Amino acid sequence: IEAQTWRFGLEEIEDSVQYAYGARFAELMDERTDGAVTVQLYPYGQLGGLTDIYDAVQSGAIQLAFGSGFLGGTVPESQLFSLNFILTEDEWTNTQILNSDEFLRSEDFQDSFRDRDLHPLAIVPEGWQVWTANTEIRTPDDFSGVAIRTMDNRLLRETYQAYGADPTTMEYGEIYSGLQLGQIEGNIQPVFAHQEMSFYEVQDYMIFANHKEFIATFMGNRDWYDGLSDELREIVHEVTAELVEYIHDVQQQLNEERLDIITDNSDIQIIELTSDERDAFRELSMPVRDTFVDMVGERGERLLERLLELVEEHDES
Amino acid sequence: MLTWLVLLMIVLLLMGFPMMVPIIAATLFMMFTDMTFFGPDQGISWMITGVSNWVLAAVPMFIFAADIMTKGHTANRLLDLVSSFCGHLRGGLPITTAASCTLFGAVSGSTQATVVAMGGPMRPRLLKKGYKDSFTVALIINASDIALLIPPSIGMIVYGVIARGASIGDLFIAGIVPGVMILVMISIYCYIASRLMGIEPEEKASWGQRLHAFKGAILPLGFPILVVGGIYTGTFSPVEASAMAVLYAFVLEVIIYRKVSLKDMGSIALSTGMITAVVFILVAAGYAFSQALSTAGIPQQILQPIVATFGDNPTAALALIAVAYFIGCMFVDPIVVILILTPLFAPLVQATGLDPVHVGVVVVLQAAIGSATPPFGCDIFTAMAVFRRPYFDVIKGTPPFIAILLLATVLVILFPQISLWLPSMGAQ
Amino acid sequence: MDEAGSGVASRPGSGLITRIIRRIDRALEIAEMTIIAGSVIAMALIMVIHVLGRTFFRIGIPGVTELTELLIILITFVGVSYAVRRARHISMSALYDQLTGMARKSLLVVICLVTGAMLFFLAWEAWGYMETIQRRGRTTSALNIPLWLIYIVLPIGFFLAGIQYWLTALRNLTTREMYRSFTEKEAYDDVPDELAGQSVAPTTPAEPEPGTGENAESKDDDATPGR
Ligand code: NA
Ligand code: NA
Repeated sequence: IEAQTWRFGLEEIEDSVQYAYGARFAELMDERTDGAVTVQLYPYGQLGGLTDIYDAVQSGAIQLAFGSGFLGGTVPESQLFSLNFILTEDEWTNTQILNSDEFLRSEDFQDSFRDRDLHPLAIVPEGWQVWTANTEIRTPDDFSGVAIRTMDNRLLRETYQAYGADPTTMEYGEIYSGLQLGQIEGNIQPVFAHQEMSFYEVQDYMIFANHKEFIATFMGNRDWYDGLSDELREIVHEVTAELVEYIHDVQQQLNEERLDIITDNSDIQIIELTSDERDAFRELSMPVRDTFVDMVGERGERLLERLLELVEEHDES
Repeated sequence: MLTWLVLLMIVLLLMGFPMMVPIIAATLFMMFTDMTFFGPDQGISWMITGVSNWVLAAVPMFIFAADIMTKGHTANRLLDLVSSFCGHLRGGLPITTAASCTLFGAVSGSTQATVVAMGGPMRPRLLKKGYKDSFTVALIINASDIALLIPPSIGMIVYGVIARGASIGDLFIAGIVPGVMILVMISIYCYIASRLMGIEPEEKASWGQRLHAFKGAILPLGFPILVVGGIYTGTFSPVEASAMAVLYAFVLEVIIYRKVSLKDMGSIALSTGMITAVVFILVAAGYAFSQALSTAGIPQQILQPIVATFGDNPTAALALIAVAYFIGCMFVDPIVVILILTPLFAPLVQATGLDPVHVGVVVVLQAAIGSATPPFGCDIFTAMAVFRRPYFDVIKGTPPFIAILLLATVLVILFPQISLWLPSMGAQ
Repeated sequence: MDEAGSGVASRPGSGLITRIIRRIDRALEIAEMTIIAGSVIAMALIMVIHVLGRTFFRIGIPGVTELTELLIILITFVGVSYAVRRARHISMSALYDQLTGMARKSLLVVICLVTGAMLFFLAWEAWGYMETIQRRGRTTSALNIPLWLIYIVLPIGFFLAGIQYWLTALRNLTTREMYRSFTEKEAYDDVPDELAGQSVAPTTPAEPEPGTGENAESKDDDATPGR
């Protein structure tokens, strides 16, 4: 194999799920190619903003990148992962379904990326999205009138409106002071982000509704991928397949550690919604699926149906 | 290759090219010589990212508010108020000028606006009273720079956007004490200078006149309360505060004082937009340049020995940072210096455990001094243009002021409490 | 918008082509002015409505940050051309100011030609980038606005700015006087010479009264923009 360097742009800084993935990927590639392939990591900030990372991988200036919540402007179908209650309640099951040939390698998913000069290599769930608030939220009624910060995204806005909350947009860097000063009363983040940004310090309740996972897609530049030798492409497939379980364990451990830090350093109350409580929210979230289809079109609709089928098959088995 | 890069920038700069040219040319140079693995298309993408930052919206908004007030009554009412209280002191007129610049700084984010709004009316009065022109001009440009430290401050906003871990609200509050400290130091110098020049004080204003001046200024004084109070109580963010300042200026000047007509708003907005564009094209180019530098691995290369030397001595590190910004601002626009040096020094700040807010105050203070310092401090050129004075007349009176500000820098570096005490009060 | 019309305008030759160029130039100028002023006012309105709406009715404007960022892009890249017309771009003019006569004029022409050329190159690159973004169909994340609709101001702004620099070079090559932009003469050279040495006399034309603020207005146009 020819000696080569692959540049890998991350949306997260060091000490994160994406960095752990990148580091392990680099290690395995080095191992399997006898040092021919060097993977160089660029943690967030080194390549500019998020869209700069997507630009860089689309243009081929870098070969590999992660794309998550902000990817919707670049790959509209990826907003599928913004919908609530489309996965099972078990994280490992979700990870397997998302990385299955039936989903990840389906023509629709591949084309969604390939049409935008990208090639999806793996899907990396980074843990549950968790609500925090200053009031106990168990039912949609409890959500009534709560100013909750969401990413500025139509699907999320409509979802939380459906739950009865007042979704508010705010820049990531302003959330802490916004919560502290009462401009916003609630927040939605994966556990590690609640800890990293100290958001939990200014919130009273942490609610696990298991409504949605924080999901990143590991992707390469399309032309780069197509230009790989069969041997090298095979190695990439092997390595990404191997990393599915690895990164699941890392993610679980990281979020557990971070949750421990949160509970050790604050009096925040942890709430886990029961199945019945979840169902009330699930019911209200249904119409947003139609919005997704309106926005993204037929391919998005087929992807949604495919995912729901896979989840249902699993629930039956 | 790095030598050629630096040479290219210096030559283009010295030749008098628009400031964006050396920056963009250097960025393209890195791309064409493969110092970075990116091409010019990524440069365009970076330029867009550089200005696609919602926090930057505070810059045009604060300039807009200041422009409305400069056209209207606000500036002069603040001036009358300060004058009625300080006019009778020895050195009263220059002290009034400095204090008015500070006060106007509290309603305006831009030193440019302060020079025009305060320096415009005060300079003829100072000259008439017998103050030397070199003293007058130096006083105005240096006192206007206090506006950079007093919230709202465009320098603080740009620093806060780039530096991780420094909230703009905290930076705003942190600048107040150093700003007032410099005002006091400048006032002491004004007292001594007018003694030496043998200029008699003005007549003392009566309490009736003071009350009248205070009544006239009461609405303009609502600005700092709105901006700082609004941010502090969480009614709005620093960015939103800038838009509320525009609303307040509009209500004051257009609806209450009726000094500015609705029709004027178009031309004011145009001039605001143009000044913004002139700064933001540099923000865009500066961002592309610093990203290109970063992907070329240059900051790491330069900073490694520095971190190794100063990593465990925060005070020395901060002094080094101050010197770098000071020299930078002597040559180019402070916004550009902040844009380029802040990411460069970020690892050093992190390694030494310096408080980013403390660093921010020192940095903005250096921006203020450096930009009034020969050879190329941009305030000098502002003053040349506004007051139509030749270069050497403008710089003649600056050395005492520069000495004062350097002394202030030493104090702010050695005593972090000067900047951090006020924000820490808010956190409790 | 009185500001744009003022300044030291000149009457160039009245040939048909010159007249057409002037017409087009004026139309573009008005378009630039409208976009810049309109974006600033729109930005203020959007944010004020957002804050008031959130505070009193608990409803903000969806996509407010996104809209604001798009307006910043408009102001920046349309303004880049307008600022050339008004000769407002920041430059370090210390050495340039020391020169006189042919040397000064030659340097000015070189600066204008090279800067213009660089802006044309940027326009070319930005056009390519805009086309790429259009082909990839990238949209904003909150309001799904196709980004190429906004990014198209980059090539246009750079191109028009390049034209303005080249027109300035042309004007300086075809007239004896110095022009800092296509329509504005260099005004600031002769004033300081006259006044040098009179350190006490006020240099503003009218003796201003405290509390009127009249004199603050006229000077704004000549000032080098600060921060
Ligand atoms: Na200020
Ligand atoms: Na910051």
